[in-house]
Amino acid sequence: MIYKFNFTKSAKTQQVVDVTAIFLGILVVWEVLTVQLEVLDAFLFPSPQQVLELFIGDLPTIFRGLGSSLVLLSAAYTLALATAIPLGLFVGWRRRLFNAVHPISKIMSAVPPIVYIPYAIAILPTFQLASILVIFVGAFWPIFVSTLNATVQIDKTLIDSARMLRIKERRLLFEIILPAIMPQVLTGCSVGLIFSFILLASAEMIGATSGIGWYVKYYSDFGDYGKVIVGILFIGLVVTAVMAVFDRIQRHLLRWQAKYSAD
Amino acid sequence: MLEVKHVSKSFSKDGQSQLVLSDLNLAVGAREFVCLLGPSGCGKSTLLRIMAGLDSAESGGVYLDDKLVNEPQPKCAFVFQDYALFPWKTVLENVVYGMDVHGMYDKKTRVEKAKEYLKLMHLEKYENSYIHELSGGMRQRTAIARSLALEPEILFMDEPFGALDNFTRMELQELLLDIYSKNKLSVVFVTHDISEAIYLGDRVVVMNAHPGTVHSILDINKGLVRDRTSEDFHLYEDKIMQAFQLVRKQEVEYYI
Ligand SMILES: Nc1ncnc2c1ncn2[C@@H]1O[C@H](COP(=O)(O)OP(=O)(O)OP(=O)(O)O)[C@@H](O)[C@H]1O
Ligand SMILES: [Mg+2]
Repeated sequence: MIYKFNFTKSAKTQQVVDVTAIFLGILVVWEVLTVQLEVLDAFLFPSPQQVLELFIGDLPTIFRGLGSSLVLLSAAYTLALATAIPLGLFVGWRRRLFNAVHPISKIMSAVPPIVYIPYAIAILPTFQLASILVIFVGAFWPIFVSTLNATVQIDKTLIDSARMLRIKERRLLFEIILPAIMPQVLTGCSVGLIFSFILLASAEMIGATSGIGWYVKYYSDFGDYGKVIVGILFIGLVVTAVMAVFDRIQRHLLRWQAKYSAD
Repeated sequence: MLEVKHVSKSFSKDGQSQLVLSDLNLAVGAREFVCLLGPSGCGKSTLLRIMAGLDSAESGGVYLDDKLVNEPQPKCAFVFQDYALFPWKTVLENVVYGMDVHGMYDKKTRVEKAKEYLKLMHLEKYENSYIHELSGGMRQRTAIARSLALEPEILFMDEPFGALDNFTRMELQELLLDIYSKNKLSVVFVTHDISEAIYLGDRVVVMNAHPGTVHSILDINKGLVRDRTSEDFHLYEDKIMQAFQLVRKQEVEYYI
């Protein structure tokens, strides 16, 4: 136990050191190429210091954009969770329904949701609604398909064990099957979350007037590449932060598994 | 009284129907410990599942107090060979959950009762552990505690000690007999271990294979078999061995 703890701790420290070193290395190369040697075109490749200054100067705009982006994202993603998981459970549990739905869901989930964007903008009254729809579709399929497949493949003795209790269907679905397949469901949720970000950025680049995707598109149209880089780096930070939160939630929900019980 | 009347069951294998149980009859009385003994593949699990209402018979039927069993019945519990515990729940939560589904007691009493059963199974130190942290024997004891907490009148057990080492198995056999003697319940216990069947059962049902039928039923005088090394114990063993040789001979004829 003690040995393992020490090992993990020093491995963590080592990792922090390594990551910092790589990060600093990139900064140094960037600085040398743009400022010291001036081999890169200053218009396309602003220096690290310029980017930092632009970032700080634009913070209010950037955070307002983040606000409107997160509203779209959380509305669509919550809707996807609330529909895909119960539907996946229910369809997976009913054999006949599964046989009918499975081929259809295979075709539907194969369509890259990005192609819906122009049509969604055309049929829905506001851009907000259109992007929520598209992000929803993008998140829905991975969550639905992983829930569906895991439900169909669930360990049958677990079901028998619950059936011996003469359990009601509703409790069986949400208190036995759902926790049992939670690892697969969460994998689907994480894929769905990444898709959501891709679709959010795409939708904003096509039709928005604010948001983090819009920011990048807007300034590249003006040829302001310093701000484009600011936008890209910021999106990277936001996605990383959201995925870190997701990871914490996943660890909590799967704390009963051997691989997560250590922490 | 649980009665199996003319039960047949077949499964399809490679497109062919294979008869697993053929016109099988059996009765389990109240407060009786019955062991189903037979070679692997003779249909013990299939029979036990039909008796518990988890599967249905093809013809014939199972009757509990003259009522047809077509689904799991109240006051029955099943201990599975591979435990079938809920790994996302702690040991204590596993025991409490069944009582909750059955609507037994209030929340506080459920926890108290669950703790009592865990203590009986020497698991009080592991109440808050998750299943993956337990050894095989501890998992099986949790599964037994979970079933007992339902205060069943009939306890079905499918080779519950099959995966355990000798020491743990003997310890759990003692524990089970102790619980059986103190509670008003019948036990239907599947095993392929001859001495386990003699040691535990009031009656041992010896089964034939291909298709599964009852070969013979042996009444055990429990007073005589408390000592596994006694003369009488060996006598019972011999009897069952002979029965199995008969079974084997029949099978050979069947294959010729
Ligand atoms: N769901 C099923 N589908 C097809 N065949 C099955 C099924 N369940 C059991 N069988 C077949 O029925 C026969 C009896 O199986 P069963 O599990 O009842 O045997 P068993 O006596 O419990 O054996 P063991 O001691 O190995 O557990 C076997 O030949 C098996 O292949
Ligand atoms: Mg079996």
